[in-house]
Amino acid sequence: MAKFHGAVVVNTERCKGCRLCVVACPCNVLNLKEKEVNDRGYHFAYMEQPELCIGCQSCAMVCPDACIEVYRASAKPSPWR
Amino acid sequence: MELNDIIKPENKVYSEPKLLNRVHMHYCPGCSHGVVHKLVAQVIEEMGVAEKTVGISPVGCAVFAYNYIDVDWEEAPHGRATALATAVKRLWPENLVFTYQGDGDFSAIGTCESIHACNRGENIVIIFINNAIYGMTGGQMAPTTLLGQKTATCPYGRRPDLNGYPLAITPLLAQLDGTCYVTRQSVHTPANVRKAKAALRKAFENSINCKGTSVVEIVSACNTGWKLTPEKANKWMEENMFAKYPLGDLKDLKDGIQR
Amino acid sequence: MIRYGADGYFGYPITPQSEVLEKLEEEMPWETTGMVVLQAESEVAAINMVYGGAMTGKAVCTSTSSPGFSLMQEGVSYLAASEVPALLINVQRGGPGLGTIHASQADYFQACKGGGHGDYHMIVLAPSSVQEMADMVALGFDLAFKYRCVSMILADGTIGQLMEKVVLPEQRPRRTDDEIREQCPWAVNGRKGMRPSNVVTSLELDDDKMEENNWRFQACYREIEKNETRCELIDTDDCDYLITAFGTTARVAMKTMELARAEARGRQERQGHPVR
Repeated sequence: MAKFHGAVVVNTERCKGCRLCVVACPCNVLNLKEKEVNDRGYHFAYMEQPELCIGCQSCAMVCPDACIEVYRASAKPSPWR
Repeated sequence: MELNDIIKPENKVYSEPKLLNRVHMHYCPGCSHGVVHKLVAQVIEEMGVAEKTVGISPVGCAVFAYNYIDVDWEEAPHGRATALATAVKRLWPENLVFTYQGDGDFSAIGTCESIHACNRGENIVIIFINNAIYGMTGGQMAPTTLLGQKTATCPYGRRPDLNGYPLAITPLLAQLDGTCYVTRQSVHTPANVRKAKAALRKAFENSINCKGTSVVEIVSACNTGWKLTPEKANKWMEENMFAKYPLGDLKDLKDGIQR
Repeated sequence: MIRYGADGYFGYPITPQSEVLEKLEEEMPWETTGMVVLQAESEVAAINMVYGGAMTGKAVCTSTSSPGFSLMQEGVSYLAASEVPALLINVQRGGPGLGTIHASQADYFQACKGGGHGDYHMIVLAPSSVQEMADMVALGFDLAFKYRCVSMILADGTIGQLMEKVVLPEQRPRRTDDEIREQCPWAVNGRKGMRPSNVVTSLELDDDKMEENNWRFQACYREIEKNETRCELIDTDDCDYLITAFGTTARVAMKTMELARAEARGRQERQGHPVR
């Protein structure tokens, strides 16, 4: 079975750090920056464990500020198998 | 796979809808309004009907909806959105006309207009955001405020002897002959977001096909008004709001209302 | 209204003007010109339907009588603030309160000063005959669209209930949707051809911009005062006294003037003065 790899890109300036994406993520990929803030003073979301992302879009769907883009690619099965 | 291999245009599976303007929304962090705005923009975009869509924004937190969703908008006096929508749809019958109203606007000051528009079977969509509180004016009691719930105007909790009972208006509207689709949704989990989107799509199609009035109630969280974090507000909503306002379709006439 | 080519009428029955809605329902203009007629659930809903329709660029109107017009004030203020054209008709009855159903002109100040909250004015046309009332529908609509403001016909119960000979205006065609889009580029009726979206609102939280808006409104009202102030002058060339009146009172005043002049003529003849 092809394994899905995903990634999200957060529009950090638009993010208001509400944490809803962090809660919605089934794979514990996301978290809020603990020390960094954006121009408006919010601790924005980022991929803390990017390798776990499966591109399921859960985070993007619940994001109230539409600041998450999701990418998804299926890893090609190895030709030697 | 490396991140650079994944983040490529051809792999993009989710991005903000084009009809959502690239501006900061004024809503508090975690507010459900943003999600609903996004869904409305997505559905209009997917249906390809932006050219004939007219939205009516309310008085309340969502008054500035017209700054966020890139379609034609009218801004209504408090509670009168369905009256405006009635005229727009009757004068431009091919248009998709929807109102976007909160609980105060729709079920307090605008109850009369809301009920009569539904009863006439106006071919409009009513998106009704029920968060059991007045958000914009600073957290006062709404008609939908739960018993015992504390707000700025019932600081010791809503009491039936003083404040009456929470008003579930959608079941009332479902009884009317003019409504073709009445549903209650929420947007606090990805699964609920999907369902809410499907409900909005169905409602919008009903408006275009002139099947009667569609009411989509979205039970929402107002974490600022409830004085909780967005996360806890969603939890509180699940535990308290859904008992009084259970999710699901209340009415769905596939062929529209009888005329 | 039908002959003007109006697009919609939204009203609520109230004496002494319910005949407007009754007649429109009887005529069924939606079958002929395509005009929408709707009995609303209240004057509040009616004026907001007018507001909703007016923002789409259509020619819409309502009619009511004094207590009903008080209920409409919020909507009228919004109409004025949003700079959208509409025609309102107030067939006045006696007040205050529920008052009487008989004729009165007590809403004069409400009509001329604005009526609702905020600094705004309407174009107010006051007919003194059924003919004028018929003619003022077209005039009211035309002025409303010319200046993008609210026009009002301020009739009174007597004129409203009067039966008189009247020559009705020619039937004008209703404007097509494309004509409306062309004539009212500001109107909210869908982004045809994906033009930039239109928003009509009366809300402006930026104080400076709101002040700017108010200056613009006032400039428009001054312009209207300059261009559109109208009255009928009768025998004013040689008058010692000038009576100004509108509506039914104008008819009384005309008769009064006739009698006064006849009496003066008689006196002058008796005294051997030359008769004017």
